[in-house]
Amino acid sequence: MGEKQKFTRNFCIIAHIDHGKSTLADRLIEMTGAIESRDMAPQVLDNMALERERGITIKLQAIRLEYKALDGNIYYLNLIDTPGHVDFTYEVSRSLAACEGALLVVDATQGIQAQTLANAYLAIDAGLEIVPVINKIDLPSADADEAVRQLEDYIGIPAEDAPRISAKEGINIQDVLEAIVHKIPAPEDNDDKPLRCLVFDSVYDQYRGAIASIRVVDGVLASNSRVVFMAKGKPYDTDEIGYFKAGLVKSSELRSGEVGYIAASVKSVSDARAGDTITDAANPAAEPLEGYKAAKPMVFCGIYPEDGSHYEDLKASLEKLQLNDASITFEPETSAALGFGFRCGFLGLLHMEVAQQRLEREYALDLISTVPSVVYRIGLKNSTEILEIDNPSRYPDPMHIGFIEEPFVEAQIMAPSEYIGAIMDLCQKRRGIFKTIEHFGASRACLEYELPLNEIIYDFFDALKSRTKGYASLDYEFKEYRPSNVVKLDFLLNGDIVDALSFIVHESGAYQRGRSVAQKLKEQIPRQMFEIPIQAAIGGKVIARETVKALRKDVLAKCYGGDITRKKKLLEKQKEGKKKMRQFGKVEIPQEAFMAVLKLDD
Amino acid sequence: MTDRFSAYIHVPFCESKCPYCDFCSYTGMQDKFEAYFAALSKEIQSYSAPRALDSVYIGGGTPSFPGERYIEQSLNSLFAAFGRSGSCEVSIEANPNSATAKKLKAYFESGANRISIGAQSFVPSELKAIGRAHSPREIFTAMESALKAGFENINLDLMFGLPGQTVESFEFSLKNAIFSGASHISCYSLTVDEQHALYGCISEDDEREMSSIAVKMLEEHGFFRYEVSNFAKTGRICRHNAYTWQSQEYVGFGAAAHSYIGKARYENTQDVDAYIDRISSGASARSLVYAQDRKTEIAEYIMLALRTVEGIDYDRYYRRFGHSFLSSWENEARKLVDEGLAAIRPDRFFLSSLGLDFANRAIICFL
Repeated sequence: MGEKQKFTRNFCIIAHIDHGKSTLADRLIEMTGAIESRDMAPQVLDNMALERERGITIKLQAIRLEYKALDGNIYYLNLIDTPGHVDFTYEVSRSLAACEGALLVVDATQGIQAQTLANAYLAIDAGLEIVPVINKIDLPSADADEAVRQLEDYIGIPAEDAPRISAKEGINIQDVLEAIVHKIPAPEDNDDKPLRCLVFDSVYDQYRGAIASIRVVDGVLASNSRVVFMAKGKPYDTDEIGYFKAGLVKSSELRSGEVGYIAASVKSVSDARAGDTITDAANPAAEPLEGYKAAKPMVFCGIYPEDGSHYEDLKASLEKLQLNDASITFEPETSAALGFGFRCGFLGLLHMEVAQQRLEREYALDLISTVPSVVYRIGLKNSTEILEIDNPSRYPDPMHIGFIEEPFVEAQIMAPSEYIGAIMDLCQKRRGIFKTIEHFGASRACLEYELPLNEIIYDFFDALKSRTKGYASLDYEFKEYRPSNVVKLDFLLNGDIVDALSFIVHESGAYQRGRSVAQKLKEQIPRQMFEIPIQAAIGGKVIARETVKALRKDVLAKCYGGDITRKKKLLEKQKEGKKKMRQFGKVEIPQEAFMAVLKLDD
Repeated sequence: MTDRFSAYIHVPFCESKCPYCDFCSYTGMQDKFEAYFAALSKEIQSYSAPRALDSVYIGGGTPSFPGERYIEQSLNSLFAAFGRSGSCEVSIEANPNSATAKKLKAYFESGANRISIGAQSFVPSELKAIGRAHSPREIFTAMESALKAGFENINLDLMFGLPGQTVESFEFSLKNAIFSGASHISCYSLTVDEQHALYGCISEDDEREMSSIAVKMLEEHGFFRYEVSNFAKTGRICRHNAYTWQSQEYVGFGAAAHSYIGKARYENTQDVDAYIDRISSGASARSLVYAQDRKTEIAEYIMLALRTVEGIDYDRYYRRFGHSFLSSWENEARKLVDEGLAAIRPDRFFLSSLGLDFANRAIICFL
């Protein structure tokens, strides 16, 4: 084995959300001095403000740590960050492919959770060495022994020697570094094979084009070489290669087993997609590495600028966002109520929320989004064609529909046993099909359900959390399409269908949803100079009706010399409110009304 | 810019505080009257650019609550420093229970020629419900004393939408006001915010009916609506308020008084002690609220003018701003006409009676 490989370790950290993955990463970075401590912001790997705030990691990154181990040798530890949320399972698997080992962090106060299990299985399947780490031992409610027992009993990995640490307080961090050095295998030395680098991430830099994060699997990548991205077969001259420290650090070569980056003026991340293999143009590898299945958007919604004149800005921002996150899709759509916007596709609900918030914050856009939808497969009568519908506005006339299928997911919900009843009740209401329940000792259980994805994308997380006081955790993955009885629910204001409010819902819940949305709309739509009927309808049939009464007056009783400033402010505020309304025929609809359809109490 | 000039004096004292009132006023400050009115005279005397007054308005608070000598003193200072035009309207707000014959006589003799009486209602239970300290009988007594003292120009304030008020009981109050000898009636809908205990105390239907009855009955009896809430017999439009709505300049004296001079709005400190301290030490009690840029000036001009029945006089607008109203606002004006909220005439643009009920909606088109 080459010297380089002997002292290299490639690892990632996997954990359930909030179990302290990012904090542990910070500590490791701090202890190995990869970044001067004055440059450390908490959770440096979460480099987007949004990630830091939400405590989740979306874009993965890597960093090289130099650690002088107790055996006196200096090791290069490549920490490859993984996202920690259910929507991003495919990104997790990307990171895993670049590693030989994974730290599995378990919160000593909570034990293993749904994503601990899901991620651990992914890592085991990827052939990684799992190094368990028990975190948060400083907390009074910590029970490290119980966490160890759960790891051994439920996942079947030895955990007796697992470092027991507090990432927050910096306790026993060195144990973790030693475990990485001694338990995780060094990468193989394949320096003499033809070059093959796995692209596990790609971010867009406006000056250098796509910068691909890579793991050199075989061969040696030299700077100033000509490489080929095998998926599209396009050759590029490398501008720069190197590894990650506080920033990008240039180097002249990356040998097999090393993790680093390559910049080669690739114009778009779609030409340097994660999963692609880079090889040497002069001495190409015969076969690419096994890539990943491209993640397919599962959740769609319309996104519109609050101010119609910002359409071009929204378009430019979506393009930029897509440069960094190739899993987002978008295409133009128009709505009678909202004007020009885009139909956007996301991996899941959280992915959608995060993308919306990034658009609003990083690109300073105010947005309105419509009810998220899954992709329905609709077969027409007297036709073999199957439509894939992700937008209610393209829902065919029910008369012509032969059959409809909707996507189902397999969901694992883990929670303390006392909440089993509440969870079952919720899943039942969401058309869940119970599969199994696994008890982890007396206190914890994992329920497996098959659920229609469409029931999860509205407010399932919120409902689950509120029913279990926040203790339940959820993991899901797509299973299959199944025949379903869904209908399109429309809402009419003043007799006209507001396209942006329509959504597709299972027949069994249509009446209830129709009624409650109509009521919400009544609360949200301010009274205007005329009466506004609100109707919910399926096909041509009205199933609920509410009325916004006509406004009788809108005038300040008095406005004297001392009042002018204050009263003018009131009127300006009223004007601002009016500006934000969407004109739909004669009716003015506030932005909140479009949101009201999204959030429904259980 | 204008040849009309108006002064406002604020008397921030009341015997008791009414729960719906949002004007600046304090109770239990009798020991400060002397110092306050001394400071007030000083503030008047130290005003740098006095001009002859066409209008004086003493408001509050309750100007009739402190002794009449304070009002006399204030008016004397004002006239001495500023001078007055021959037709100057001098108006004083008074409460029925404190406007004694003696006070009213003294006001008249000091040069006041208009009294505004806060009647609010002629029904005892309604007065009690909104915390008013007077009885209906005291309204009549005050009216009679005012007429006897020589006042011919008298306003009564009335309110509708009061707790326990019915359409009939409001009609009763209206009739009493109409036949009381008043030449001007201000008729307001009780306005409090949603958190207030008095909010929504009567049904919207009743409140709207009261409003339309008021307009109808008052006009039948020769009180013409000239602003959203104000009705006057011919020649009795309240000058101070009319000037305000025409965006004429006014200077304010006293705690919390506002001024509009040289296209800037000012406000005096609301704190009575601070006011006295600042004035006595030779400082100003005034701070700039904002200087009007042209856009603000036009917006405020339209906001105020549209509250009046006369609306926007093209000629006056043109003389002030140098462009024609319709050339800049034709789209907005036409839209409001289409909605039935306004009318365009050869000489002016004004809100219809429906438009006056939706004045906010109309005004915000021009902001």
